[in-house]
Parts: sequence; structure tokens; C-alpha cells
Amino acid sequence: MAAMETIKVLSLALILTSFAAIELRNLRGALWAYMLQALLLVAIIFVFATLHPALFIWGITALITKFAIISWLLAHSIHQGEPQEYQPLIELLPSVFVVGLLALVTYRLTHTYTTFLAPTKLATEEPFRTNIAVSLTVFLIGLYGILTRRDAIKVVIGLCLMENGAHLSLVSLAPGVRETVLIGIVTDVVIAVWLLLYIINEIRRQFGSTDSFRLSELRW
Amino acid sequence: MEWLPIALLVVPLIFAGLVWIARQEARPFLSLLGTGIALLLAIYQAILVSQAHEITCLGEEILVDGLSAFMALLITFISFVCTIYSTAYLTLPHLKEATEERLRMFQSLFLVLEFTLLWTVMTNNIVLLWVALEATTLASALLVSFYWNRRALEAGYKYLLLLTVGITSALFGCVLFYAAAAPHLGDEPALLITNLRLVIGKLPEHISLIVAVLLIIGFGTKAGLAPFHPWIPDAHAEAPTVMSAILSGIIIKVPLYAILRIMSLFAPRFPELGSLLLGIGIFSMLLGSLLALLQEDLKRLLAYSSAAQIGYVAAGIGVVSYLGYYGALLHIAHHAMTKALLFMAGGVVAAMAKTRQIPALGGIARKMPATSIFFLIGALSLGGVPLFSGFISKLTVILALTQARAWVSVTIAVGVSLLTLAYILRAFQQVFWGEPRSPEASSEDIKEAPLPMLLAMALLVLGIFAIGLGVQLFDPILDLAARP
Repeated sequence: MAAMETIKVLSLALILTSFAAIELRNLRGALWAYMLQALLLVAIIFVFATLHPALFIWGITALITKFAIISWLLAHSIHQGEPQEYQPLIELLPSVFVVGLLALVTYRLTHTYTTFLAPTKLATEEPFRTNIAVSLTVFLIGLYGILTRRDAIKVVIGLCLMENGAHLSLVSLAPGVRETVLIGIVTDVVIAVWLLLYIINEIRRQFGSTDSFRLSELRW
Repeated sequence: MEWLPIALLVVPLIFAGLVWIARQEARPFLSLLGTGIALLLAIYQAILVSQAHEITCLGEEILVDGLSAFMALLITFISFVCTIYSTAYLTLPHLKEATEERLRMFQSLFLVLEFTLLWTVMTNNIVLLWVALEATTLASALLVSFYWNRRALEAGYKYLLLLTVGITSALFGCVLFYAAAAPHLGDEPALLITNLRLVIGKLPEHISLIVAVLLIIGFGTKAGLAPFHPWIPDAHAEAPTVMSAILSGIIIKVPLYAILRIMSLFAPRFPELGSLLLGIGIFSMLLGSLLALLQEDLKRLLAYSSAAQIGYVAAGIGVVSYLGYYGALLHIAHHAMTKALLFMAGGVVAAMAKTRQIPALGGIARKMPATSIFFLIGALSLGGVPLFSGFISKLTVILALTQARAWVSVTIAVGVSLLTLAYILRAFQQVFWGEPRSPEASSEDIKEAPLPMLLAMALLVLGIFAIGLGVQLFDPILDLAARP
């Protein structure tokens, strides 16, 4: 089962890139991590496509949207401002520890108790079992990023990680879904990221920074 | 009649394109024409559905039953009224600084928004329901931050981020639902809600519960149910008044439609989900009205009150009975009209006086008598005074709660209703009666609202009395809608 081993290695690399995308304080570094993750996501989908040929189209869709378009949008926005992100709520060392623990616990729990979450018998078997665990881990790392980062661009990167996690879970859970539905989902994601960055660019122009803590005129 | 739902979906899109390319003078006319045709189609569709029970097309991808037809009718009516209002609102002096480009974008996106809303209530595909609901957020985000100043940008950022993150949990729910149902359906398309209904009893219990909770959280965020309400006041207050009216009137109602659909699938098997929703509803009522009491900003007060009124709808759905669903739908219609009216009347006062602070206003009734009467009608209806729509809708929800013997909820619902009447009448009295309490409020620039705005408000008043005095008129469609 060469496919199985490949998926395991790629999945581990995927979690590491999420880790880097959240923890790298340099936004350009975080962008590189995100781009690497998008490529790994595409690679995983292609490996799954050897088991389920309909997934080739999914891989191509992910390549165009997740890798090309979203990376370009992020790069465009990051290059307009400071490359260093605003100090997040949690210092580097504790944050690395928290994310590491979060990833480890989520992965262990979901991998061990897949039967609880997996709706079908097939999904409890490898490699789908690993896939579901990885997608939930990436999803939660993204959510953690959204909750603890001050820099609005970093928050958007967190959102992208969440969406990547959700996208990855589709591979195991819904490989039979028609392309139109898939295209509907990714179109929504791309437009959401584009609109957020469009608003953030204007926030940077008017507020002089992308620090979301300065967005505090509206309380109560 | 298979063409009808498709026509209803396509008309707003075509007009959005036309408005985008048209010259400035022609745009208000085209917007009115587009929303007007959509309204006529929706009325025709509602009549047909009340006779034939449902219309399907595109291989059941689009399915219009009583519930869909009812929601489509409400969406097109409020959109039409808001368009009438906006023809005058977009020419008010405070919008003069908005560039030609931004106005074009506003009018065009408004029609795209109407399309996404109609799509959400008419699709029969569970994942496309999610896609369409997220699309309503995307289409409305730039409308919320239309003023493009610091506060509007902040509101737009929070709106987009919170709703997108929240609704991602619903995506997980949809996908899990599909995955669990697919093996039981064989070759049948497992994304169709009508097919999912057939196999709901065969799904593993814990998966069903996870799916339902994920969907309720995701759609509940979009609906602004507490504790997912923080985006509500920001978005409502900083958006242009037309947008506030449609946000409260329709955008937060469409996710409740989605919740009602989900509940109609799961609740017969899992009554505890009803209790969960009832609890969330009661919590929203209490929190929303307490926070509304503390507000000095007129639009934020109305926004928090929306969060509270959404609670009645959630409570009605949570009862999981015919009467509960009936009351919830009636309350959706009542609140759409009433809150749109209050935002329209309050918004024009704020635009004329250039302040939204209630303590700074006062004595407006002398300069804007018609607007003040419209606001008063809205306030009485919101407070649930007999003869107005709020009375009959709250009564139905409370009767449903009584039927379910949820006595604590009944007490809270009645108490919150009285509280609502108190704070909205206090706001009315401070804004419209007495002496002006600031130079802004005594300004000579304050004049009666322009005719199109008065016409829009008059149409909403008509709707309020139609529900309040002649609810039988809507019974054929409501009766169908309450049996989803």
C-alpha cells in the first residue's frame, strides 16, 4: 500500500505547515507555509484520486483556487504593508506549546475514536481514518489562529486553514459529490477571502495598520 | 409551471446586470422594475403552490413548497419596499460624498443579494443551501460597509469574519449528513433534502445529533441568536438604513428558515433538539432586550431588539408543533415588516438630524409628523399591542409554548414583550416628543421624509395591519408552510 504510506507522510507535513503558517511571525514566511500547505493538499487529493478517479477534478480545482488564487490574493495584500505581524495575544513559546498540544490531542482523539465521528464503515478504515483526523486538526489550528492573532491578515490565514481542513474532509466523507457543488463551495471561500482582504487593505489605509485591536470603536 | 421558480431566480440577476451597465438616471427605475417583477412572480408562485402544494424543477434541485413560497413572498415584498425607499434615500444630502461607482455597486449588489436570498429558500440541495446562505453574507458584506469610513469598515470586517467562521461549522454538518445518508440511498442523489428525509430514521443516533447541532450552531450564528449575536448591532448600526431594514427584515430570517427545515427533519426523532432551540431562543429574548434597554444609539437599540425578537421565532420552532411553526412563521413576517418600518422611520430621522443618539434628539414630531406616526405604529406593533401584527404573532408563539407546558418560557416571553413595549415607547417619546435637546435636533434642515420613503413605510404599515387584522388572508400559504 504505497498510497497509504504516501498519504501518511503528506498528512504529517500538512499539519506541520499549518503549524508554521500560524506560528511564523513574519507574514511572508507564513504565506510560504500556506502555499506549501495548499500544494500538499493538492498532492493528497491526487493520491486519493488513485483510489477514486473522480477526485482528479477536485485536485485541479484545489490547485487553481487554494494554491493559485488565494495565495496570490494574500501575497498582494501582504506586500502592501509591514512584513512583521502585530504581537499576538499569546507569546511565541507558550503559543507553540498550545498549538502542539492542541494538534496532538485532536489527532490522537479523532484517530482513536473515528467510529464516533465517521458516518460510514469505509471512513473508519485507513487511509480515510487518518484523513479525517488530519482535517479536523488543521481545522482547529486555523480556529486557534483566528481566536488568538491580532493581525487581521494572520486571521485570514487562519480562516484559510479552517477552509483547507473542511475541504480535506470532503475527500473522505463526500467523494461522490458532483463537481458543481464542489465549485459552489470553493467559489464561496475564494470570494470570502477576497472580500476580507479588500476590506483589510482599506482598513490599513484608513487606520494605518492591520491590527484588529484598533478596531474598537464599536462596543456594546 | 416549472419555469416559474427559475424565472423568479433569474429576474433579479438579469436586472443586477442591467443596473450595473445602465446610466445613473435609469438605475432606480430598473431596480424598481426588477424587484417589482420578482414580487409579482412570487405572488403568483404562492397562489399556485397553495393549490398544487409544490413545484419542482431541474430534477428536484429546486423545490418550492408552502414554506419556500411563503419565504420567497416575504423576501420579494421587503426587497421591493426597500427599493422604493432607496430611490429617495440614495439622493439624501449625506450620501452626496459617495462616488458614482459606489452607488452603482450598491444598487447592483442589492439585486444580487435578492437572488441569493431567493436561492437559499428555494434550493432542495443541502450543500447548495449552505453555499447560497454563505453567498447572502458575501453579497451583503460590501453593502454593510458601504459608507467606507472607519466604523463601517470595522463593522464589515467583523460581519464577514464572524459569519464565515460560524457557518463553516454548518458546512461540516452538511457534509457529515450527506456522508451518513449516502449509503442508505443507493443511486438516489443523497444531497436532496427530500431524499434525506426518507432515510433520517436509519442514520446512527450520535451522528444525527452531531449533524443537527453543527447545523443549528452554523445557521444560528447567521441568524444572530445569542450567544452568536455580537455582529448584529455593529452591522445594523453602521450599514445604510436600507441595508439595516433588509438585514433585520430578511437576512437574519433566512437562516431561521434553514433551521426550521433542519428541525422538521430531525425533531420528530430527537425532541431534545427542540428543547435546545427553545433554550437558545429564551436566552436571546432576555439578553437582546436587556441590552436594548441600555442603548442610547437609536439604530443599535433597534438592532438588539431584533436579536430579542429572533428569540421568539427560535422558541416557536423549538416547540416542534404545528402551532409552534405557524407562530414562528407569523412572527418572521410580522418582524420583517415591523422592524423594516422602524429602521426606515428611525433612519430618515437620523439622516436628517445627523445624529443617532436618542438623548440628543427630541421634538422631531413637529417637523416630521408622518414619519413620527409611522414610527409609532411600528413601535406599537413591536410591543405586541392588539390590532397590530405583533400581537397575533406573539400570541400564537405563546399559545404554542402553553400547549407544550413550557411555563417558564411563557412567563419570560410575556415579560420580554412588556419590556419591549416599554423601551421602544420610551425611545419614541424621547426622539419625537418634547423639546429638541441639541442644536442638531433643532436644525432647520430637518424636513418631512421625501415621498418615496413615506410610500415605502405606508406599504409596510399596510402589511402590519393585514397581518394584525386579517391573518386569515395568509392562512392558505401559512397552513402549508407550517407543515414542512
